[in-house]
Amino acid sequence: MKPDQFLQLREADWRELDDLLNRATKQPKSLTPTDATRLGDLYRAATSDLALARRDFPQDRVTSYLNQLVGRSHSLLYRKRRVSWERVWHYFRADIPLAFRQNIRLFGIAMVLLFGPALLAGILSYIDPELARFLLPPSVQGLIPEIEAGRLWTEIEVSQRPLFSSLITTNNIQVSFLAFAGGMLAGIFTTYILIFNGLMLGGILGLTFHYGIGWGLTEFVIAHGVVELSVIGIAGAAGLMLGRALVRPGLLSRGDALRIAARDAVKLAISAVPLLIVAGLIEGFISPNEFIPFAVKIAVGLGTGALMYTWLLLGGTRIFHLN
Amino acid sequence: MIEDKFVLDTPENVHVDFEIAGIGSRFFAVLIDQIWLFVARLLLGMLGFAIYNASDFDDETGILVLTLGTVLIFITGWFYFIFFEISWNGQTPGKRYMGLRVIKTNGLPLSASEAAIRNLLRIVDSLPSLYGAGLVTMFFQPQSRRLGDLAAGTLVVFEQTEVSLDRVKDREWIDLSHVVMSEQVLDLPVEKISASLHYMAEDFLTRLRKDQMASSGKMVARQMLSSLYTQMNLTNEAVHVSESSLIPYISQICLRLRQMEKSEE
Repeated sequence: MKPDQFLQLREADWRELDDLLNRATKQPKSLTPTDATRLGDLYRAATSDLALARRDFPQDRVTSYLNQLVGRSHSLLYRKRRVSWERVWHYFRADIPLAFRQNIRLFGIAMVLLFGPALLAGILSYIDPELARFLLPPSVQGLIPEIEAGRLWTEIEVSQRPLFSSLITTNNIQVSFLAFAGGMLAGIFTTYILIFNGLMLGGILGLTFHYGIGWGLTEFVIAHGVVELSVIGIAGAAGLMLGRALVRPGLLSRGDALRIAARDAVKLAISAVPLLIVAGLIEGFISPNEFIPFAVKIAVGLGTGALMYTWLLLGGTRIFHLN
Repeated sequence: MIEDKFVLDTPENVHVDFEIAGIGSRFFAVLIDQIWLFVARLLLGMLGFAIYNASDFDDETGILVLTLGTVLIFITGWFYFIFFEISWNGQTPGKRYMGLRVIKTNGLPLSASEAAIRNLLRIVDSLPSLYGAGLVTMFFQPQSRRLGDLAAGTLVVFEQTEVSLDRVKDREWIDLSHVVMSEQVLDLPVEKISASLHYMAEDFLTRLRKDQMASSGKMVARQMLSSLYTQMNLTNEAVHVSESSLIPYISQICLRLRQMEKSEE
């Protein structure tokens, strides 16, 4: 058979398939169940047409037409479920906590990388404030004179609080995403972010305690700090997962190990978004509010922390399901 | 021309070829997306200022506008690519304009999670600046995948441009009525040439006439003729045909094939 004869013979079907594909992409709702079945039939017919064309006239433009037609149908027909609210709900209810529990050891390591330097910097700068100058990054050195004068910088005007809250939240989410993405550099950048943030946290706290305003800062930090610092640890774990896959892929190829690790790691990175929004709202509106007593702030901090860890440790398990 | 091909095996056991997108087209796609983002943010900024202005530079409104601005800049920066690649099945405005699409390495459409992975890792690819890390990875990776693609298990292909059937049907075969048949060609066993190769030769002549292959024409002509000769089991004969007779010979062979086709009907 010549290409032109073949084309004449099959043209009607190809045109119908082409029309259905266009409708399926542009107005998917206009497809009836009959149309959908027809689409499947026409696609299968087109695949065998393509096989035939490849054998008989591989170089002809009929073949490249069919190649394109089958390619378009394939990407439409084999498309996975669309993103639905149900999927999103399941993702947050079960997928994220499961990924967290499976990688809880890396979460532990991330927390050590965060709090180890924090503790060290805290003790050192409490004993000798001069050391804080070495430990604190230049960006926060400006706070040192404030602390020395016994002043806190945590008072935020009521009208400024929404802006402050959004700045804090977006910045924290950005840091979490960086900690995750930094895993691609063999985990080195992730480790750096964790240690850096730990030094900063510990250094400042130690310094404030040295100058007697430590409880004031603790009062400010406690309400949002539990969730916020845990999230840095979670995002750090996500980055370390990528780094581990690259450094120690085990029996898998590096590429495969990375792909498998990324599938779970991205869940942890995404969990940072809702958690940090909650933390940011608390940091913007509850933490700087001088009318809320210290005890309530502690309760908020411990309460949100307990909720978060309940979700992460029990989400998607049977215990949680029965509730 | 060497094309990077990605071959997809469908469950129906048929191959579909995709052409892998190179560095250039992907760079332009990102550039277009960045321009879009910039324009969108500029418009939002102007809107914000207009609102602030309308409120007579009221402080509270100003704070509100800044708050919304912070959130919107953050969302557009991190979620523009994720949003479009999920809802447009692997395309963003820039990719659509350049005819690119992200697919999984097994040829299936990418999932939401893969869109998130490859775009959250975009930041490492853009290190130290201007996608330096991404470019280096793409350069050394046979399928031109950047770091985000490696982690997500995706690659970027040229979306097959929709060839319309009418264009396929529209074979304008050039007029060969003036071609004078030479003895050498009359003796050739042209009936051994397949329809597929005949059509290819006709396409070649059409394109040559339209001047679409000005400089490479001669070289391709030699290849064309030797393919024709090979099918006639005259593998080494084509070498002896002089440069100036290449195209006349191909024309004459095509003419004979056309005559044969007519007589069959």
